Amino acid sequence: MEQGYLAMVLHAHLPYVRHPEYPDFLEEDWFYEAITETYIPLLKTFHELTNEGIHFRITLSLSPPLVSMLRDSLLQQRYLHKIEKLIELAEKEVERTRWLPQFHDVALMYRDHYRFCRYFFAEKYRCDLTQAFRELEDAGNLELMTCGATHGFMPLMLNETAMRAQIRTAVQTHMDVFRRAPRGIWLPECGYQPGVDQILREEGISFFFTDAHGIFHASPRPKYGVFAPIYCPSGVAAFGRDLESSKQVWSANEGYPGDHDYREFYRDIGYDLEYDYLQPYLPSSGIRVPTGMKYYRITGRGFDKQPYNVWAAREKAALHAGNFMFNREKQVEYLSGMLDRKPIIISPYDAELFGHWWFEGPQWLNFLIRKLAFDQNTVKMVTPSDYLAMHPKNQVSTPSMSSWGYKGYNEVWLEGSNDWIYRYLHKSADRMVELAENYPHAFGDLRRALNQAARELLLMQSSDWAFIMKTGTMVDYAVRRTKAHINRFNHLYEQIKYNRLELGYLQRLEERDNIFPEINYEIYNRNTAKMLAVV
Amino acid sequence: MTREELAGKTKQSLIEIAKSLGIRGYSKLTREELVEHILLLDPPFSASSIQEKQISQYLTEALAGPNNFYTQQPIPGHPTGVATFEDHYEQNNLPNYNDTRIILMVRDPYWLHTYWGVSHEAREEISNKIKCWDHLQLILRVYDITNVLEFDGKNSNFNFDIYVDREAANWYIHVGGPNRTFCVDLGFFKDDGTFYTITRSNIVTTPRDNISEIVDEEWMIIEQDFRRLYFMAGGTTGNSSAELVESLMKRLENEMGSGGVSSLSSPMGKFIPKERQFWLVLNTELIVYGATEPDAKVTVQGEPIELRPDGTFTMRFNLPDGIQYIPVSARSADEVDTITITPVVTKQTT
Repeated sequence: MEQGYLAMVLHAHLPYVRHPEYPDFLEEDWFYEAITETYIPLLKTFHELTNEGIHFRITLSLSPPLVSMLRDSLLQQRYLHKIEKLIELAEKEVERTRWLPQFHDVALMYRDHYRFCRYFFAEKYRCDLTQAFRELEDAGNLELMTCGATHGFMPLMLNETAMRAQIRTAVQTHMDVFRRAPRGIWLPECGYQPGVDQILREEGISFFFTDAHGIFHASPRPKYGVFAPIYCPSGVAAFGRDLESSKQVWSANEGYPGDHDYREFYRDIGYDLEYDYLQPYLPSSGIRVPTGMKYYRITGRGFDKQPYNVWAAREKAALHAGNFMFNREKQVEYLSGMLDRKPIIISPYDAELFGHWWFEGPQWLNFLIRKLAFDQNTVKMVTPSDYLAMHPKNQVSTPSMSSWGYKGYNEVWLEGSNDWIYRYLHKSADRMVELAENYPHAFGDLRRALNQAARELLLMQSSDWAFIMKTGTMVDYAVRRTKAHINRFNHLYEQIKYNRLELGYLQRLEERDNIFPEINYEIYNRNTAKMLAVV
Repeated sequence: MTREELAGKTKQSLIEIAKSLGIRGYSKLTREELVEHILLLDPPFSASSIQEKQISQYLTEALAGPNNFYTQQPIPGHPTGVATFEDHYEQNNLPNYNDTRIILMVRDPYWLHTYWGVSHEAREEISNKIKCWDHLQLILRVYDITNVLEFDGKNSNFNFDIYVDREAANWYIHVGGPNRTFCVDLGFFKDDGTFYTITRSNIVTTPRDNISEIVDEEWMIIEQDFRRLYFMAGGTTGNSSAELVESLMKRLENEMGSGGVSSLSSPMGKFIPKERQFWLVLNTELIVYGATEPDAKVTVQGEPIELRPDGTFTMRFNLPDGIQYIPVSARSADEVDTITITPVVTKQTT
């Protein structure tokens, strides 16, 4: 009989990046890389485990922008083209490394993986990976959650109607694609402020997550700390992140991903090989970019890197999975001795950590799930829904405003590099409400314009833009996107308000910013928004 | 000049601007048309002289053609190739809302952020009725209204003033007060010494930075045990709850966050050794190429390879030190003829 629970929570999200106006676009590569390096490896792992009859429970949030990109036919076609090119490059690499046995094995690994990706993506799932996730939920091994519609950061949004629209659009998108209402939500950046839970409740959500201090600083004082959920006064459950288990994976210095046997992320053939040879696989602008093929292991500090050893890395992933499990067992044993109920340990991670940044992450997860199933009885994998079904009675308390960003509050998204955006985000949200209330039940072109204004508002609210501005890579793109959506919204606002719609302009925006085809701008009307309940 | 600025002008002043830009037939134009024409000729962005020429040519055509200039083709020779006038406009303008309001946001338990704006009309009114706007010393008056049910401007727990530049439009405010409620007025002192409020902000509450002092009787826990839980969650040592919080926050700060993973953007740049000033990397590769009948079977070092449709082939190998024997065999489709050629390559690095 188990003494406690482990909830592994993965948050999968990418900002909505889609540029039909360009033949190829660098920032779209984030999506293609994530499919090849994270989503397919994770899906492959989960499907293998399911086929072998190994029971596991993973909680996975798929953000609406990510879901929308996975379903977009243009991006699907472009991914297929990308993976074909990668296979071609990998085949050449297998040849090129024929006399270098230490690299040859790695090249073979890439070639086989890319071929598998093409099969899995194109043949098995007909280019729509959302269905692969849905199958795993049907099989009882995944619990899918949603996120904010465009990953808008709630504590700085201010306009309650705009917050509700983020949640409702997310729930609606999730239902359209997965045919099930999501029970849980991953609040973007784990950003919570009191009051958000009330909106969640009204939109049919039962639980969310906060960082550790969001629960520890809840009021009244939560008896079990982060090792049991609390109910907000609205009745929605809040689960708190466990920092000890997080640290083993996240920490830059002590975490598993920094191990010397693991693959080095930064050393890529895109920078190392001769230019003419690579040129067909580089973007049309001709600049060198990472290809995804990397031959070295982390090795240690300094330039002299050792070749990557597929089998040594695999061994290390198994070792680390064992270590993680051992630590959770000890943690659960210790806690269950203290508490009068079985503790739950919440371990949330960005899904893109697994595979993209930490190449061996999916293998580690694979070993962890197998070991938890066969090698011990102390810890049981559950999802928050499972836990709430077993333990419906929980303390009522209000979590504290918090996020999982640097320093734990809002500073990442509100500092010198990005504070300028809020003047426009807030005004646009207020204006959207104004439009929705002045033009109820619109039809025809006016309705199209109002719906498109709602899309532009949602797109400018992505927390990704502020985050990128702060972290300093690809800043230009984030600024560009923010300005574009602010101006597009503003043009639409003026065109609607002064009754001079420019249909050519509207059509171009609909083609470019085509997220949420089924959006209904009336979610921004305070008079009717509450009645437009999700069906 | 932006669309919003133009929209705020009288028709007469729009005509003045149109005149100065050499727009002909302005007297027949409506107010809206005037704005559009001015925007076309006075695009609110700066471009290089070459771009300007191209853009002005583009605009001339746009003006001569049907009145919907948004449907025009991309600006020729624009640096990004396919960017349109729209794109250029978007990147060089932000709306000027010309409204009077002040908004307050929470950064963390100790800091707030506020931004504000005052409309032209409000400025004029203040200038006319109270004091010339250009000589005002603007003040942010920060009110602590924790547990104040209905704030009326007078019943705050305490308040303090921050003098801000007239050019400033936003400010970080150190309030140092976790779990407290605040509101801010933008205003100034009138000549009689009384404070005049131009506009008042929304109300915000800072988060706690510590464990709640409120304990629920039904869910009591021994102080010692709660401390141990906190310790488990990431606190290291320490006896007071303040020390525990501090160590927890430090761990959050140093190690966690959401890593760099919230963005997938791969840091750009070539992998360059940082320890040394000067460096050289040298690699050698060998290209083997040839041609035969398109339907022949070819092997290189015993491994079959694919021919291009015209019967040619190219192989590229990384060449390590040592001797490589590279037998290339071609066998005819009817399997009658076989030809083998074996280059031997020696590479030596000294």
